[in-house]
Amino acid sequence: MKDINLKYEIFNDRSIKDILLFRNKRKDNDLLKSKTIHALKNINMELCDGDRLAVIGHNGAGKSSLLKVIAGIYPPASGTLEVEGRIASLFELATGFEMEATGWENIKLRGLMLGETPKQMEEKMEEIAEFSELGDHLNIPVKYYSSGMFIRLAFSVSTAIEPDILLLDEVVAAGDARFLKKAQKRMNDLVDRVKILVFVTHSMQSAIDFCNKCIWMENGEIKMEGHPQEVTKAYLANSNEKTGLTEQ
Amino acid sequence: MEYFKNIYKARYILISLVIQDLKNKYRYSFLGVIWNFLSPLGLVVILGSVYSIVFNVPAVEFIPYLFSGLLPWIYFTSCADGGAFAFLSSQGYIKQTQVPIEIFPLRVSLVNLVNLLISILAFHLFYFCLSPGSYSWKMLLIVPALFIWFVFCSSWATISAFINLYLRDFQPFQFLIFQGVFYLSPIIYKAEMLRMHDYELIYLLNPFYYLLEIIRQPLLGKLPSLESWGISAIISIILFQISYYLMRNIGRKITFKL
Repeated sequence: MKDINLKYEIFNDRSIKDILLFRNKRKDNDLLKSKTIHALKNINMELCDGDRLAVIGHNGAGKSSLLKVIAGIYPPASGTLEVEGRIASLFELATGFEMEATGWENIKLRGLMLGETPKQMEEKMEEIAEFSELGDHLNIPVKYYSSGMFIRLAFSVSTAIEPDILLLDEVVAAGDARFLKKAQKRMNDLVDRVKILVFVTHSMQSAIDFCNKCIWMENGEIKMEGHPQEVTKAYLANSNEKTGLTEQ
Repeated sequence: MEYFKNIYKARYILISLVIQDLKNKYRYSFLGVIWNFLSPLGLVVILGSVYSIVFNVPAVEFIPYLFSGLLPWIYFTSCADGGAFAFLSSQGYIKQTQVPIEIFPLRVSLVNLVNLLISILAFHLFYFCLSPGSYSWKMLLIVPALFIWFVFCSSWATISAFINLYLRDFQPFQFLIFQGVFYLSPIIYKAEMLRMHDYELIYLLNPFYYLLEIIRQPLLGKLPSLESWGISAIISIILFQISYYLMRNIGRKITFKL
């Protein structure tokens, strides 16, 4: 049986070493000169079954980096990460296709990449195909697909899985209005199914609607954590202050 | 043995990717898989003709010898060349999913292994007509030989993938070096020829000599020397250790380089 707890302990610095071959030409660029980007600083967090965490913050704050470390895509420079349970990550939907393969083959491959077994994928194929509404297009190589079709395919597969822990990075479903509505519902179903959710978003409303905890990240650190209502409020107040807008 | 655990975890993905690559290789071609036979045969016919006409080497004996050395060499260089790009070409998967990176160099060596196996089949179709008397149980020794070669080439592919990521010059450099090594190895000529001219050391110190022996001899129906087995096994183990060490110490840090 799968474990259902996510314990996420002391999780420290992380640097990206960016050794560029043309560093001589870019002497005036500070970021490149330093050669490291300290993306996450001393992050300490713990999440349990039933937690739905929203991560908000400005661009470049470290939100996506945080998700990628949890997913095991980026190794932390120091600190420890303890995860129990199966993780599925939904980041960019448009990548990870084998262009010469057909729609069906890509559904299977994508499912496997998300952690499903071939047998599980076999069972879900029909259902996924039906949801995507791609019909006969599934039989041709995906290199002929439009971007909307790509997203439908990716979305249909990505939401058919059953992970213990789900990491969402502002996944937006594209497509026509009717598909969008179906997509909303499917997304909601998925979110209900998982035991732990970590959700990066710029939509304060989503944070409040879906989540029971919220953290505000800035410059690689957790600036504030608490209930979505209060954290989003503080974040908005801060942003408005910065841009000189009055609150609505 | 996290390396093997990760591969086992991702075994379905690896197999799917390998099948995709194999399908893609001949997707829009007319002759398809037959090229696995035609390409090495073509090479062999050209080289064999040059040798028998220009250098007066008896073709009937020489061509199988040439063929049996060329096939594993092609396997190795495809793994080395393809391996260099193993991580680069799959950067989408590496940066967006949790798929264990161990499988990417293996993808290259498995696809090439399948091609090798098909070529070997083609070789036997050809050789059986030529010299049916050579067939014996000794040919079964190809199985352990292939295993050693698989470990050898997979390890090299992995090492190549890591090095090329940090130093893009590696791939063209490697290519040139192996062009040279090709001529220093008894593939298009027999080891005896070097012995005759007192250049024995060239092949005795060349690891490929021993590696080629363990595949070539069973293909021709003969027995490779124990020395060849021993040295090939040791080389493969050493390379495997290096690739394991790289995987363990660098591992996912490659994500930053992609």
